[in-house]
Amino acid sequence: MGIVELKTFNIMAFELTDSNYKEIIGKSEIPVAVDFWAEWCGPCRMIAPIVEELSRQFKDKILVAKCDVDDCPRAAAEFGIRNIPTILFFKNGELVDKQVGSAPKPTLEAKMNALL
Amino acid sequence: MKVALFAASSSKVDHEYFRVASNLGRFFAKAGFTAVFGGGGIGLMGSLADAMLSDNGKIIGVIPRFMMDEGWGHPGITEMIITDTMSERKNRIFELTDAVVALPGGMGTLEELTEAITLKQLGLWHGQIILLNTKGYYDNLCRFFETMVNENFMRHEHKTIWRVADTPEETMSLLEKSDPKDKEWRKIARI
Repeated sequence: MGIVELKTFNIMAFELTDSNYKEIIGKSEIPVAVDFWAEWCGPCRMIAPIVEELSRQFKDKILVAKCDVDDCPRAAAEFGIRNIPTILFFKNGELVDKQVGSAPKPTLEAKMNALL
Repeated sequence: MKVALFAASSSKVDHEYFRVASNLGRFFAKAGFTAVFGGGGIGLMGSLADAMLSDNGKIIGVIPRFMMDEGWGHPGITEMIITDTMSERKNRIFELTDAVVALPGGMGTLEELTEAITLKQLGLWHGQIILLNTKGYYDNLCRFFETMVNENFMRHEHKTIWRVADTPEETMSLLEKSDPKDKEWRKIARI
């Protein structure tokens, strides 16, 4: 499924996998924010509602994606994910910012706004 | 996020321990964490609970029936889970929580802390374990853990199962993240 179709289908917090992450991050027409998380990670669950809110708030402007590190170890290893949650911010396929550890909504919102 | 707190029930310890416990309680309340603790009303546990309650923090107490019958339960806790045994109490605490913070304490605190470390080492529980090392209280214990590793009673890698924080601020910073490797300890559980 291409990026244009993703926007049309109004999918929030798109799920990345080891087989699609390069294409999604590399070819997206809009900036991408990737939330690396795990189901068993308490701080990850704490920011999950914030990430979901931001994905709605920045709909069509920033693609918000989630990457479960247990299911996509290759992506986690490529980006050197040492702590979770880690949110990586990409623009034109390049890593431009990151947030390691949980953070309040204003902090994440500011980083999202900086992508635009 | 729910964080288990293991701490002293003694009321006779130095004032600094109480000050730090209260501070941590205030940080927890501000961060919106839910504290899960043994349900007692005295000592560092009581002090931390009082601080959280006064800042409208959420606390869950897990207490064995005999302690409630003795009147040892914190009177202000609104959610108190009563268990039949001490073992059940510990099991419930670990079921409920995402992380553990051990403040200075006596034998009960030590027992709960080492059970957390053991469960994590065996891959049965994956949360952060933090020792809040007020006044260097846990320095000797950490040296003992080093001896365990140096004499091959534990693997070198096992040293990252727990973290040591010197202040409540550092504790909060550590609680903000997990290590992805924390899911994989069972692979190297055998020494």
